[in-house]
Amino acid sequence: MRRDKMTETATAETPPAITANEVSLLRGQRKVVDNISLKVKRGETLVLIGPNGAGKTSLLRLLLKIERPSLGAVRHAEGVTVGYMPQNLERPARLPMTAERFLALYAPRGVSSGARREELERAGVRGATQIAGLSGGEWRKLLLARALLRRPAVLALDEPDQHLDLAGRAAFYRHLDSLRREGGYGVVLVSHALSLVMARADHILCLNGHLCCSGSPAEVARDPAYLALFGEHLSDDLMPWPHRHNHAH
Amino acid sequence: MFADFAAVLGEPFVRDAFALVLVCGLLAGPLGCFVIWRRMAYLGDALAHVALLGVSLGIVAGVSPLFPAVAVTLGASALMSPLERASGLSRDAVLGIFAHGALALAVLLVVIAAPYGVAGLHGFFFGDVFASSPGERRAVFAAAFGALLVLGVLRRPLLRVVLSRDLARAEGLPAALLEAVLAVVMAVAVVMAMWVVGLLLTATLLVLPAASARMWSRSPEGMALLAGLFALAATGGGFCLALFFDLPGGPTIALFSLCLFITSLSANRFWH
Repeated sequence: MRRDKMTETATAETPPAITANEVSLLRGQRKVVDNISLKVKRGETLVLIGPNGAGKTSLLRLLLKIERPSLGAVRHAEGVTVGYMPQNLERPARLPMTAERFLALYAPRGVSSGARREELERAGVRGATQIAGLSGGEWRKLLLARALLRRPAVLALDEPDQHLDLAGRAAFYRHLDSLRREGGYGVVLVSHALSLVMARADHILCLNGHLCCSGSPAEVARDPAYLALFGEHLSDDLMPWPHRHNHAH
Repeated sequence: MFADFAAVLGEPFVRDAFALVLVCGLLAGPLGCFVIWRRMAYLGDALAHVALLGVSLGIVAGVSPLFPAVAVTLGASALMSPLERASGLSRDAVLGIFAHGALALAVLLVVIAAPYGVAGLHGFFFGDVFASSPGERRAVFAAAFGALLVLGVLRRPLLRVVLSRDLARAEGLPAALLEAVLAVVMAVAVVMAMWVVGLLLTATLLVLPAASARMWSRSPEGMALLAGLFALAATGGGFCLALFFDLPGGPTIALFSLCLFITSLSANRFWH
């Protein structure tokens, strides 16, 4: 029923950049992603939340066509480019390469070296630095710069706030806010930093393999399924939220 | 004495072997960079063992072992991922199964079906560059330069696959195809290296020149070029030393590249 409501809100206005139609992903006997439908629209922020192992990253990989769904289909609107910032991209410690070259390697045709320098500056990384010598935080920023440089219609961020301290997180989300204002990106965001992302989401999907609940942040926050997953007293992102569940719907 | 040495080096069969050794180094250096970046050193070693099975098949069938060796190596590379998925084992365990299964099979096959070929098979354990026909040399040169050309032309997409397979796929690169290209180049290089330094030392030639080059490099291309130079020095120098002192070629080349690596490492520490 809630799922119906979601499709309703999404069908109006501009055509969505990415459409997922009843997608499922099976790994052996396990249903990692269970019958999810969603739409990603330009200029909107879609947030995927859920406990570890809920299938958030897997769903994102399906949306980006990195993996094929076992059932259902994912469609990209024509000419849609995605900028993906993966969760666990290891800093390549053995590959000699400067930050500037790293961006150049991924820059699509027509993106000038001036634009690359601009992104580097915004990320606060010196272009001549070897990527093997970057700190964890700098590497994340460079990955975000890389995704942005692709001039994407959709920015797909998988736990971009991981490995950042509190100040770093706040700065990161401010950075993201300014990007969204100027760029009109559609954003798909996987995160555990609930209070930070709830404030920014247009639409939230709460996953636990299947879709637990979805809607605007206000709707989701009241949803019993959400409360069952994350508890009622979530004011602080430092709190490890309990999930008393493995519930049946 | 040096005049004698120059005369020996001028002998046609020595010259041919020398050229073979140098070309092998020229390919092993840059490819070795990918081996280091993707942490595939053990893959190179395992594939060399697998290649020996191809050599055995060649001996039993009475044809040049070169082509069956490349074919078997490629077949094994293609089977590794399916076996990994089906067995639930990690990559290193799968490599171990392939390497030692193939090695055992290779030896028994020759002992049973072609006992006259046992000595020939032994030659491949430590390399035997003098045992090549003109046709084989032409094939090797063509394959090596073709492989280098492919690595050079496809270096940007290949680097993106090295950096992240997921990103490459998400951004529309044919990651599986690029990995297959890398596997083919790897098969060619492994068979060549097995020929030159022997299967027991193949990984040395793939790893050491690239490792010697890494600490001096600031770009992937720079590292590949420098690794090519290190590998040329290692194979050329090792070959001459072996000839001069009448030592077995493979181990001399391997030890010489180790010396170059240690020198490079010490110089780098001293420099910085």
